[in-house]
This record gives sequence, C-alpha cells and structure tokens, in this order.
Amino acid sequence: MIKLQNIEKVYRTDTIETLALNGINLHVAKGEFLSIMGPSGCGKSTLLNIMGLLDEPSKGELHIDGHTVTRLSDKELAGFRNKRLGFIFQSYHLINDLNVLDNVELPLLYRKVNAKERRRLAAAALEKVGLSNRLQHFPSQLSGGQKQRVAIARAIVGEPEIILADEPTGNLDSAMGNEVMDILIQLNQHDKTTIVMVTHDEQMARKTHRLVRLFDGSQVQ
Amino acid sequence: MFKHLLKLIWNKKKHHLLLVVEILVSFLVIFSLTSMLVYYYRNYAQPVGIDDKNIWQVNYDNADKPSQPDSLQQFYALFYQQLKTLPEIEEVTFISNNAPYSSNMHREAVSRDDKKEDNVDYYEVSETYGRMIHPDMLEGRWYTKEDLVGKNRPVVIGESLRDKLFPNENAEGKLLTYEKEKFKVVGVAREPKIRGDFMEVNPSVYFPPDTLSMKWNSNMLLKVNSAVFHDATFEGKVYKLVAGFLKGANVEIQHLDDKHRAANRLAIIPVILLLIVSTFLIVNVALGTFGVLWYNINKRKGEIGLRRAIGATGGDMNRQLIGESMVIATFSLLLGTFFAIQFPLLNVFNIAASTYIIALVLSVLFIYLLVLICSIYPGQQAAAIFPATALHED
Repeated sequence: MIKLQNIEKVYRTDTIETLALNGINLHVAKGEFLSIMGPSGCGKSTLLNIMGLLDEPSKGELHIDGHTVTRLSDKELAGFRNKRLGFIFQSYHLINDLNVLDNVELPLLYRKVNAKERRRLAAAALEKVGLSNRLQHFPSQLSGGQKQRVAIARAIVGEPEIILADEPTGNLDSAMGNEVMDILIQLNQHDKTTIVMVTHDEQMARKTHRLVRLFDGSQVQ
Repeated sequence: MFKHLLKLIWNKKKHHLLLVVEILVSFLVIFSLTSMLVYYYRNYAQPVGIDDKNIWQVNYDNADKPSQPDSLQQFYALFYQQLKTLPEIEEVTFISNNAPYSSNMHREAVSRDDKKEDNVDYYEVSETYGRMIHPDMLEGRWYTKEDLVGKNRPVVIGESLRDKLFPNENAEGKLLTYEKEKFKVVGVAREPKIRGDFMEVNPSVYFPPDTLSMKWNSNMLLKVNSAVFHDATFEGKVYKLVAGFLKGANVEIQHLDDKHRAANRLAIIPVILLLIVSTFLIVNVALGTFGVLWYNINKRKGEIGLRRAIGATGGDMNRQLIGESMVIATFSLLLGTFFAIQFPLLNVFNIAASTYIIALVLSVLFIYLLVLICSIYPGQQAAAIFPATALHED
C-alpha cells in the first residue's frame, strides 16, 4: 500500500544541515495498522509527513498503491491527499470558528461535494465516532477527547484508504486515549483502513499490528 | 465555497468589526467624493454658453441716482452715451446684482397657464446682453429696444425652463407670467454656466430691467477692446468716468475671466478637502486589509496547513484569503449602499439620481479593487506555505 525506498530528508539552513531521515525503507501493507515510535526529534513526524505528501523527501521514492507520488504537481498532491489520505494530529487542528459539522465537512468541500451530501456524510462520520449529539457545538465547547473524535470524523468522512495519525492520544488522558485508540482499531478492523500512527505510548503501540522504531533518523526495528 | 467563506467571516464578525467599519467610512467618503466628481464632470462636459473674454464687471454701489422714473431713464441713457464715447468700450450692459460668477442669487417663480416653476434664476439685463456674452440661442433671438415697446415686455428663457414650461413645443412667441404680468418669450438660450464650469445651470429667465430695478441695480458689464483689457491706464480712465458720473459710488472694476477662474477654484476646494480625507482613509483601508490578512496568515498557519493537508491547493488558499477580504468588503458595501442609496431616493441637494448611481457603482468598484490589490500579496504568501511547515509552526 505504502512503499518507501531509501528515503532521506535533510533540513538545511545557511549554517546547519540536519539529517532527519536516513535511508528509510518501509512497506506498509493494505489494511495494516502500523505504529512508529522513537525518541523526540528522531524523525517520526517527518516520516509521517512524507507518507502524507505534506513534505518532500530530499532523496528516495515514495509509492502509494502503486503510484509514484514524489513528483506530482501541487494540484495532483492536493487531490491525492483529499481522496486517499486522512490525517489526525496531536493538537486536533480544528477550526475554532466553525462548528463540529462544518469542521468535519471540510475535506468534502475541496472535493466539490454538494452541500446536502456533505451534511449527510459529515453527520454519518460523527455518528461513527459517537458525537452525533454535538453537531452544532464549537471546538471550544468540547473536551480534548471529543475534539480528537471530531478530528477522526474529519479524517474518515471522505472514506480514505489510509489514515495517518500523528500522536493522536498524545494530548489525552489514558481513558480518553483508549477511547480514541478503540475507534482507530475499529476503523482498521471493520473498514479495513490502513493506519500509520506515530506514538510515544508503548501501550498504544502494542495494540497495533506492527511497530517500527526510529532513532536519529534511521529505522532500528 | 462562497457560503463557507460567508460562514467563516460571520462567525468571526466581532474580530472583523473594525475593518468593516473602516471600509464603510471610507466607502461613504469616497462616495461623496465620487458624487462630487461625477457631478462636476457632467457639468463641465456641458457647453459653456457664455463668452466672457474682454469683459469687465463694474460695480457702483451707493451711487446717487435720480428718484423719478423718467429722470432715471434719462440718467442711464446719458451714462450709456458717456461710456460709449470711449472707442475702446465695445458694449455696455446694465445688469442686476446677480452678475456672472458672483455669489448673489435671485430666484423667483414663473408660470405658464397651469404650469408653475419655482426657484427660477431671475436676471435683469439690458438688451445688449445678448451681444455681450453671445449665448447659444436655441430659438428666436435676444430682445431688442424695439421689443420693449410691445404689448408684453419681452423675456429670454433658458433651455431647461423651456423644457419644464413648454415641453415638446417651441416657446418663442408664447407668454409666461411673473407676478401677474404677462411676458412674451422672444428667445430660448442654452443656459450659460455663470456660476463656473463645474456648477449646474438652473432654469433661468432674463428680463429687461424696469425703471424701479434700475434704481437698485448697481452693476454693469463693459466689453472692451482686447488691446486695453489689461491696460491699467485705461482702467483708471474708466474708473474716473464712472466715479465722476455716479457721485458717491464705490466703484470697483473686476475682470470677468478672473471671476470665472475664482468661481472654478471655489468649486474645487471641497473636492481637494475630500480628496485629502479620502487619501487618508484609502491608506488606512489598504493598511488595514493588508494587516488583517498578514495577521491571518501568521495566526492561521495551522488552519492553512490543515486545509492543505485535507485537499486545498496553494491556489485554493490564495483564493480563500482574497475571498475572505472580499466578503468583509461586501458586508461594508452592503451597509454603505443602504446609506448611499438614500441620496438619489430623497433627491438630496437636488442632484440628478443618475449622478449618485454612477458614483455609487464607481465607489463600489473602487473599494473592491483596493481590497483585491491589498489581498493579492498576502494571498500569494499563504499559497506558498508548505503544509508540513504550517502544521509544525502552529
């Protein structure tokens, strides 16, 4: 499903050159739930950003579902992200000026889905994460766990094949973290969604199919 | 997408209130300025209708004049002859105190059968006036001495008065009434722009002065030879002649073309003042729009990153930021249009509704253009942000 070949990422400033990823070779199978662990600054989020087409590798090739995606135009990348990828972030990244339903609708807006259908799909996604009673609430009126569930609803509303989660339980207490993790497991098991999750939590990582460890930009496990 | 932008801005209305008010105030000031400019331009585009070259206006307030009508007529006839003895004086016209380019105004009501027109500019000018300023005659001619002895005293009316009292017909030979006396229209002239090039002409009527008014009128126009128009020696000679004939008079000689220029300058002063205020406000709106967008880019990097992550292209982000500015401008302009539209509806200042409508359209376009220009660069900056960077910096 996702194939990384000899991926390197170098951050350059005028004076410093930092090697964030070094020769990463990774294959994530369709329907797999993979977790990535490692100490802070080891390149986990950079790797996830490259898989999510949010960042470009300095070297190497990335293939998703047989497509080489390292040389796509901005418009093609945006279309690819919109249709095939879903993102969940540690800090939720909800738009505070939009209510829950509008936040969840956002990916469909860029897919030019009509308003009525957007409403229907967003409501269905929110029902899936157990938030159908919070449609008109604004993010400021929700708890951290609820915010993350809204973010999950937003990630799944377009029915992507891949979900990329960057420390989705990082800002939550263990009970809420477990709730969120259960939803991700459900998505993986029932909808066969491929999930790649970056986490610091060993317990959460153990619930996934496979664990990859990074250290100083290199894969160590 | 428009509905989405509308919702986004509406939910942040308090945040954008200051900019909305700023654009609204600027729009209203620009609307005032544009209304004035459109009004002036439309007046300027009209024919001048007056030849004011080589004409002096002589004012002789407080002159001792005979009180008996017959004596007064003889007095003025003699005065006229005295002036005409100077070969440099080509023509003399005695006029009422609302002389061309003066700020004096005299308005009366005149009627024809069942039609009445209030606020008609009322001028008393002797029969030589036509030869003096060469008005564009649309019908008939200027009155002559011979007309004065007819059954009805003659008048010349302006084009707009004709259109109001004699719509779709010739006015020449018809009668109109002023203070119960019937006057015969001998000619129709295009109203000369005697308040300056930028001012609107008003319906007008020209009467020959009667003996009573000759007692009170204290102005005349002298058409002089171009060779002596700027000759101070000759001006002194005329001054002495007038002062010698009209005992006790405060004689003042002004050049009509100078008065013409002064009237134009006076009309331009409010435009300059509005231009200064508008420039200040335009700069404010430009900086405000630019500042708000710049702030949005820096404060909303996370949102920009998220939108890029879920499928927005750089172009989408550019369009969104420009669109948000346009929606804010639209809120202001809707409010501003509500106020501005009252001007043509209530016929404020008696200015044609089309002048206000043109000004309204131009002002709306100007504000949109200004906001668009100020949004382009911040929009491009937003488009250039790389999604991973934006998400990381939030």
